[in-house]
Amino acid sequence: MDKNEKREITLSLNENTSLIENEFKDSQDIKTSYFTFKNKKAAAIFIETLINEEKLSKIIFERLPGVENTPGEISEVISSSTVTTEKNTDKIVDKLLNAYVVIFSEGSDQAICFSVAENLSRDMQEPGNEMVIRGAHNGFIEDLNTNIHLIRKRIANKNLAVKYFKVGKKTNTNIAIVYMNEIANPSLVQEIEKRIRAIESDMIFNPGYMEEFLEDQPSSPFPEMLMTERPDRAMANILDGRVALLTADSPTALILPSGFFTFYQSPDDYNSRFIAGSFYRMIRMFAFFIAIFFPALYIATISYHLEVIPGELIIPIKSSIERIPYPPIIEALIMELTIELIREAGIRLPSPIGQTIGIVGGLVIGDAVVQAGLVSNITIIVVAGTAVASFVVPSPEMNTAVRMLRFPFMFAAASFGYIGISLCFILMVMNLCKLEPFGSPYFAPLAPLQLSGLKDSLIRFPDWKMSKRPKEVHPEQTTSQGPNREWDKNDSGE
Amino acid sequence: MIQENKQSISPRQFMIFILQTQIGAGFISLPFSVHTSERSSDGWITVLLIGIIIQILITLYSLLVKRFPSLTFFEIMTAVFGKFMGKAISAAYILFFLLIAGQILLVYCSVLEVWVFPQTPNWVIVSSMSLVALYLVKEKLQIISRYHTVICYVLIILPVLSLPAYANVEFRYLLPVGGSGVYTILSKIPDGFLSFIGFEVMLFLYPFVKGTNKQKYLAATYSNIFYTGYTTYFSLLTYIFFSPEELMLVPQPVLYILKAFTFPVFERVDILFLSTWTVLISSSLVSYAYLTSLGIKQTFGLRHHKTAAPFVLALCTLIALYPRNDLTVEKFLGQVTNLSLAFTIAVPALVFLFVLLFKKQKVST
Repeated sequence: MDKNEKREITLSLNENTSLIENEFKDSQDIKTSYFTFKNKKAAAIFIETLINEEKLSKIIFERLPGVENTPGEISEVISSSTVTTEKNTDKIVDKLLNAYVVIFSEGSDQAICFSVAENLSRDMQEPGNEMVIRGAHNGFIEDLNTNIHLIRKRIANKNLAVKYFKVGKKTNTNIAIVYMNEIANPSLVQEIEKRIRAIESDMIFNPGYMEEFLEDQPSSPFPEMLMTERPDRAMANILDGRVALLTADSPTALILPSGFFTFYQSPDDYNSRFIAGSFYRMIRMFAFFIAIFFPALYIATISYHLEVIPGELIIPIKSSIERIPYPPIIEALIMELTIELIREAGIRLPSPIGQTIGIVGGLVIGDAVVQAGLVSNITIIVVAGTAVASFVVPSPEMNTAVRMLRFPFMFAAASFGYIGISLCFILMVMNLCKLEPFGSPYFAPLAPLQLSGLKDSLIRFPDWKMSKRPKEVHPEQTTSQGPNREWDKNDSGE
Repeated sequence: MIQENKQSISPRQFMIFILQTQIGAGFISLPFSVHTSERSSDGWITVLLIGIIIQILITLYSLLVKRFPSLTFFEIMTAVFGKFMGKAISAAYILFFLLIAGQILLVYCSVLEVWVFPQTPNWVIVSSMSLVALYLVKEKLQIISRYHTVICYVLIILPVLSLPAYANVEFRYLLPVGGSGVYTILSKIPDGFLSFIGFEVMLFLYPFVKGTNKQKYLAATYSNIFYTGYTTYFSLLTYIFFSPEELMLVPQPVLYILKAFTFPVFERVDILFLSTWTVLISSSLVSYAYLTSLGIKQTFGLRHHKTAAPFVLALCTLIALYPRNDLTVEKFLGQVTNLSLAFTIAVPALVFLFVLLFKKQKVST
């Protein structure tokens, strides 16, 4: 088609309708319904699968007979706040695709458009992979407007900025970035906008897809953006000066830029008393190390450094591994891969069968494999401990990263013992220090060291002590609260 | 985005960078190398004295580089001595750093060979460490400093591991203080000096540090105080743990101390120590490899030091593999010690005198 062709609608009703219908050549769900208004022929065009017909007739068709004799145009009859007029065919097509109804009338070269979107979405539920004990139990759903509504409701502030973009050359997916003006760094927002505009993909499949198009270091094992389905988590991060990215038809918000410790914060931490909150933070960090190092330490100890085991333990351990025909690395790999198999099978299956798989895998394989003498008891303990520890992270993405990381550690341990683990650890720390998603150091506040940031990393200080926003995201306003609990000081002065 | 100058580091990072460069390979054998005589253990005095000498050097350095606030030492050489001489001296420094990096790998390899992997070929041990280091050397100074900052926490582990040693100490080994005589104590200074090498990075990183001259000077001073304190602690521990006669026989006394006792859950603490020591070695190696690459970049006008990094580490690996037996290792270390005295004391002092005499100041580049 000639690009310079003037693509505007004309005065003739029939020409206009056929023009639009031709645009949607083979789609049979595009409907045209003709009617007369004040003796002029008119037509409403819409895609019936996108709109709510009941609403449509309420907005216009049911009102037509009553206003036949009063003065005014069609646009004044329509009881909708989204009424606009369009001339350009491309824009009209665009509107139709976004659940608008377009009305042409004879002798007018303006098309009236208004939205009659059908809103079919599920109820808000607590996201299954980010459960909390206390706190809000609602989560994002597969509707962009509802999701933004959930954030707006929590941040009643005029500075909450919402910007829409269309990405996906073929799918025209709506996405929105939500951030706080005057808190989020403008250059961060600019950079994110620049990267979003640079996406040349035909479709945006899901948030993970977005992440891959936007992130800095795709080859790193660590996730660079926090994915969350919790409005409260999104809100807290937005108020830290981060930017939330929401995609239409996805219940997941991407938080960017995220640091390593962001993945270890759970809304529960702030709900429990700060001592308990700190304790569980530390448990999680401990779990991080267990999940990565435990199998590697086992392999290294058994294959190279049996002398580090205290004398009293040597005999039980030795007797357990003595009859095993394989080297420890094979043993551990068998069990680790079995656990991954059970996990992967369990996810895809409906929950009753999933439990069966769990029992078959856990009890039958676990027990039988020891009885058969393929794997030692100690390996089972190590692998089970690792599996439990790896699921402690309150973010499925970090959990995957941790589970992936233990394999290089296991191979390094099998080839160089403890020194191999050290070398692997060095590489991991180097990678953590290298990552700089959107210019904010990933491993902050540990590197670079930020004392105020440490208050909310390995441990959690009382809420009223954390008055600084995380420095690594370069927020415009650095303090998040004034002096609190002033009354306490007055009381103790007496 | 959010572009600050990516090369610049804060005074705190500067301090940690110097510290991590200093804590390297020599640290575990320092008490042995400065051990004075069979009669009395005065090595710790030597260690303290070296610390004081280094403080003097740091003062000298900061007086020197203050005159050229935006130049690294490589560039100062060119500014002071002209293009040809300057490049020649810079090249000498590059070679020196290369040797130091090689020496770190060599010591790392020989300790591991003795303590953990008697049968693993040397080239495997050395090249695996080089490859790991290469991953970071390619990066910006800021990121290297970040790594050093994280690794800093490892420093706490070592004194904690050493605590059980106090069950078996004998303070009288230290007596009589100064019993080996002033001359012996002083004569051991060059032997211990190699373990303190690393403070000279100050000359080369000075322009990259954000902050006043005073802040930078204090950063270097704190790092020196910390490192001197740290090594003095371990030397003292060694001298009260081993008798002076015993100490003549233990080349890595810190490791032998740890080998002597056990924790209920962990029998061989020395192996745990070696694993943490590996991490410390990596930071020291990365520092020197980075300095070498930086020198090559500045002297030969490369666009990015990244290009030089693989060659630098390949050369270090070769240097570390060159000495074949204990004798050549010892000879090699002796030569590196002499070189380090020349390059950290003699050359900067001469340059300083030259600058003073001819009143050279930094003119805008």
